[in-house]
Amino acid sequence: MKRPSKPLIFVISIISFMLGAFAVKYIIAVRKDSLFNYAAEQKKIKLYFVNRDGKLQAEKREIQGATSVLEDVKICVAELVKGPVGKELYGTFPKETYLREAYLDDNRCIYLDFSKSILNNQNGGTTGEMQLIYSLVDTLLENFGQIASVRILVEGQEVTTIGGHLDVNRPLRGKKLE
Amino acid sequence: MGKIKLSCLLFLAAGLLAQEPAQKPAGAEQAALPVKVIKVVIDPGHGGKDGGAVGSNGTREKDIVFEIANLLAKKLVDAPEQRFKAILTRAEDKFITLEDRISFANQYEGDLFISLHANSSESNRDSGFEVYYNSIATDDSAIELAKRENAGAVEKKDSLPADSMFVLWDLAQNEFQKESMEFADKIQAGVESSFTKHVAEGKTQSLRNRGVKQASFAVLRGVRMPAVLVESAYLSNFNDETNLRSPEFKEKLVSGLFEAINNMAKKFDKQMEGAK
Repeated sequence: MKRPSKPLIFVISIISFMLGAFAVKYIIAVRKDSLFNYAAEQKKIKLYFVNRDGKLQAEKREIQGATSVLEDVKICVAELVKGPVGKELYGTFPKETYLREAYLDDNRCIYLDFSKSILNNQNGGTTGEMQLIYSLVDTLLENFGQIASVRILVEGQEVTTIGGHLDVNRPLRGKKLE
Repeated sequence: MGKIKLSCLLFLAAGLLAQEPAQKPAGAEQAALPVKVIKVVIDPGHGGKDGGAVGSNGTREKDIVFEIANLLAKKLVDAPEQRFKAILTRAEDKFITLEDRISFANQYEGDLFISLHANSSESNRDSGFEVYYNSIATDDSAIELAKRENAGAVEKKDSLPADSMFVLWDLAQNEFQKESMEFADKIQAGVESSFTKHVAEGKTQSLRNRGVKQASFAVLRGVRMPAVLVESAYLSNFNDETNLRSPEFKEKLVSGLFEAINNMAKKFDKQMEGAK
């Protein structure tokens, strides 16, 4: 039997290596976005705050993750409410706001039930309101592949707006602020 | 019998008299027709317990927009040939729900709806005016998809079940979307032109034009007429707040808004002529 030539072995090896690398990458991505086999480990997250030009800018932070997506979401939102560490960034939430509960439905829409203090944003014009909403939405969509959209509740109830402008009574998705 | 005959004659005469105007020459009838009166619903944002945004010098959004709304209403009512009727959704410093504002505008059967606001941002560098109209596509992904669908790049698909009721609700109001966009463009051009003239006259007050944008506003949802929301300037910006307190600045802003409304009225006239 004729032995395969050296170049052929080389090509087969390269293809096998690439397929293997893709498979490993895929498995890691699937596990990362999975609701199950969720590991409580140190996680690097990106939180969106407002920069000096009024645009949303990510700040990296490390958190001690919990054993479920919903618990991690709560930690993530708490970090967002705390505000930025960087001096050139501004937080978007009233400081006393807290997340009462989080639920995920079959359409991967996460329901976030906030305390009523989220409504106390005295400086909130349309832009301020947009900054608050999309700092939250962009942060969650960036860090959790399990989430496709976000809905905001206040004290367990649906609300039309947070500050009298934007309609939040719908699933919200990511937006870059212009 | 004689009474019946008399009644019949009177009935016939009344019928002939009633037909008379329709038999007038077409030219004479056209000249007699008044120009369509445009009903403008002006919505000063916030009010009462809801003060809206507050500037660093204590300027409250609800007060500023109420002043601008009244100036605009006066300018419209004083326009030649009683071309406009203006009505405010709130006549005093009172809290009115967004639903009541929408319902009021629809009951009044306005031709145009303009909601007036003053903006605020977490960054005090943000400044300028912007005009919004409601859009089905509000998030980046939806806007991108809508653009591609319009360009024929992708096949139109049904939305996710969770979103379907919201999309249906928006589609019901989509009838006025094109005109709302046009109204927003005219406001942007009108205000820009008003302030360009102002600066050319040697005045230092200027207003950054941030353009026309789309977002999902609660107060524009369900309004059955072309509707826009104007963010006049930023109360969180020192210069803008100072400007908003100035009567001259407000006058220029109102001139720009009036020009846009007047241009929309001309467009309605053309539409009516085209329909004849």
